[in-house]
Amino acid sequence: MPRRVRPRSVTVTALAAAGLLSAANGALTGVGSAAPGPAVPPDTQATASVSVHCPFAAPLGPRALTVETTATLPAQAKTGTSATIGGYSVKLTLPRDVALSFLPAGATTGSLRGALQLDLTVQQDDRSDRVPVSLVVAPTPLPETGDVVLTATGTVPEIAINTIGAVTFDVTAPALTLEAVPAADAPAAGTAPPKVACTLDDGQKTTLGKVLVLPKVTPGTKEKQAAAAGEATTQDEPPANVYTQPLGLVSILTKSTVKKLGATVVANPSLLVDGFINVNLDTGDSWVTGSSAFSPVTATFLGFGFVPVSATVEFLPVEYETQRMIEFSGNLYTDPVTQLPSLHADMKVMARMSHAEINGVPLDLGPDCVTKDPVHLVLDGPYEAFGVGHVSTEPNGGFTLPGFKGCSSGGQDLNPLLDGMSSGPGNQAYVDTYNLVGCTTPDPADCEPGSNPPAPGSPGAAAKKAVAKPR
Amino acid sequence: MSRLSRLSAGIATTATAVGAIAVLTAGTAAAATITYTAGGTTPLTYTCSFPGITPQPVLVTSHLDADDSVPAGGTVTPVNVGGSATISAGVHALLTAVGYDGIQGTATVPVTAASGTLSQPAATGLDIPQTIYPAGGPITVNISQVATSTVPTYTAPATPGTDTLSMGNTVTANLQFHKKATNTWTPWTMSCTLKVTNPAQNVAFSPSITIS
Repeated sequence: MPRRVRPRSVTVTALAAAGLLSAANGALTGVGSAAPGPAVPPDTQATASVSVHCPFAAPLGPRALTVETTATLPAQAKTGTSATIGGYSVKLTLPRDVALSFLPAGATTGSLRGALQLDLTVQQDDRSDRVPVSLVVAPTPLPETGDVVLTATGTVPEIAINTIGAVTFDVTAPALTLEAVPAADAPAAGTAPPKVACTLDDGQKTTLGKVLVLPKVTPGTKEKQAAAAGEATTQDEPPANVYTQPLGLVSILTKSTVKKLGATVVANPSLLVDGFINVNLDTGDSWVTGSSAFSPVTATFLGFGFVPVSATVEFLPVEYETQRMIEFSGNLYTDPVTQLPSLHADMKVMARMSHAEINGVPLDLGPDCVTKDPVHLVLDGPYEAFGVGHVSTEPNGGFTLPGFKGCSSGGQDLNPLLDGMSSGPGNQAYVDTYNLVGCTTPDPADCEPGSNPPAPGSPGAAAKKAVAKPR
Repeated sequence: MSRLSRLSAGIATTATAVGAIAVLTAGTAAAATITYTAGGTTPLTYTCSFPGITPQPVLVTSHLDADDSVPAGGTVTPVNVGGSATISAGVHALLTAVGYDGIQGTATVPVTAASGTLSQPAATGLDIPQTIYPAGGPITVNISQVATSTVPTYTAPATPGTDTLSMGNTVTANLQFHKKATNTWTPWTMSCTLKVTNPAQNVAFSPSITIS
């Protein structure tokens, strides 16, 4: 029975087609991108090494051990299917005196065996669950000298995940149950071996790996998408008959406005990486996926309406501490009003601020001045395979720029300053997707119009077209 | 020359003349119009550019009508030049997904000759009629010679034997895709490159041309 990560009532569907956020001192502009991955990428080898302290019985007391975990993770999974973690193995090195303590008194030779229990933490966005994992330590003879290396292996229960997005697996501290391997003619032990519950040392990375969960069946309308993203599961459905192809070269140009600042920030053009377009041949549902990264942008504006401010803003994935690429997944649908092919994307990004100057005076914001919460962007608009598509936030709603955290200078908390200047609702993000014409001529000058991406710093095509675009 | 010799020579001369007439008669009778096809049994796979996605495979067949035999050094201009291009259900579904449901335009189909020569390297202006396709399944685009098409004239080599026409490596098409939402046509220059396979695809028109 697969273990399931509980869906919540509102599922955040990782976005799709292409966009970016730019921000200035709390001002953000949207970033976007498109398209999902190829059929079934190979499994990936995952490793994690953590240090723990284990309270062995007196007189040994707490001892530091290193726990090294290896496993194979699927590179991606589909909603409604199970993620199988294979080859799960944990290696730990037991100090010799600790190992000897499990042998009969006075013995210096023998073998150890036992079990190791731990929880594998499965986290997606702000939800997490724990999957118990039981491993067996096969009888391991003590070497003549030195520490004892024990290896525990076992099977991880299958994990069913029903929500699109990146799922992170983290290891936790193990509990050890070790004993000496009794002699063949020895009487059965009267008591169970003691369990030693170890604890993780603070401040270390525990991530074993990540699995990207992609939509198995993607609705063709916003309404259907919302339904599927909410709680519908598709575990009983047959595998989708999906045709997946790489997208052509897609350039992304984004612009955002931040209401409080009265600022407009145009980001540098970026490119969609690993862009794919998918269509379910049975239902016609289609979607795009991909990822992108955006270079930092320096924006200038008037703080509180009168203070000249500039700042560098960069858009990052929610897991910005461990990854650089912002992943997207968005649905293609026919707009019921305009009948135009359109794209709906729902994405989250973090915005990080740095290198601020106020009235020309540098103000150190610290190394990790980011939004407290992800910036949630819901983008909609026409998608044009032959040229430029325009998606943007809802004109009457826009997006809310969260407050900031980690912004300080010389011990002075700058978060309230940034929050006061910029955080709040009513901001807009515009994303233009340029499907570029392929060109293979040696001289780019010979390429057809539409072969080259918009030039960096080019006047806001995004802005003009976004304003005029049909909704 | 003896009488016998003169008689023999006369017989020989007569025989030669009869033989020559027989050859001419046979040649005239063999000049029937037949259809030459390339990819007729196994369609040729070309990789063609499409908007918004990476190049996709398209299955191509082609045909032309010409005499089954051409005199050495003689010329012939094929007629009824045309063919088909089949787009897979997957590519069709992708086009549908991005809002396009029809195709029209013209195609340029390159042709080569193994021994003879051609007045131009390709048949141009071949017609792709305006067609709206219902969603679902593969679609087959018909390509045909029309009054505005230009078809190369073939000149046979100077010596009798056989010659072979073949499809060229790059087929191009000036297309327009129909945007369903706006009922407008969007231009697209499609370039198709013969897919490299091992063994190589047989691009030759069949049968070979007899050079008489």
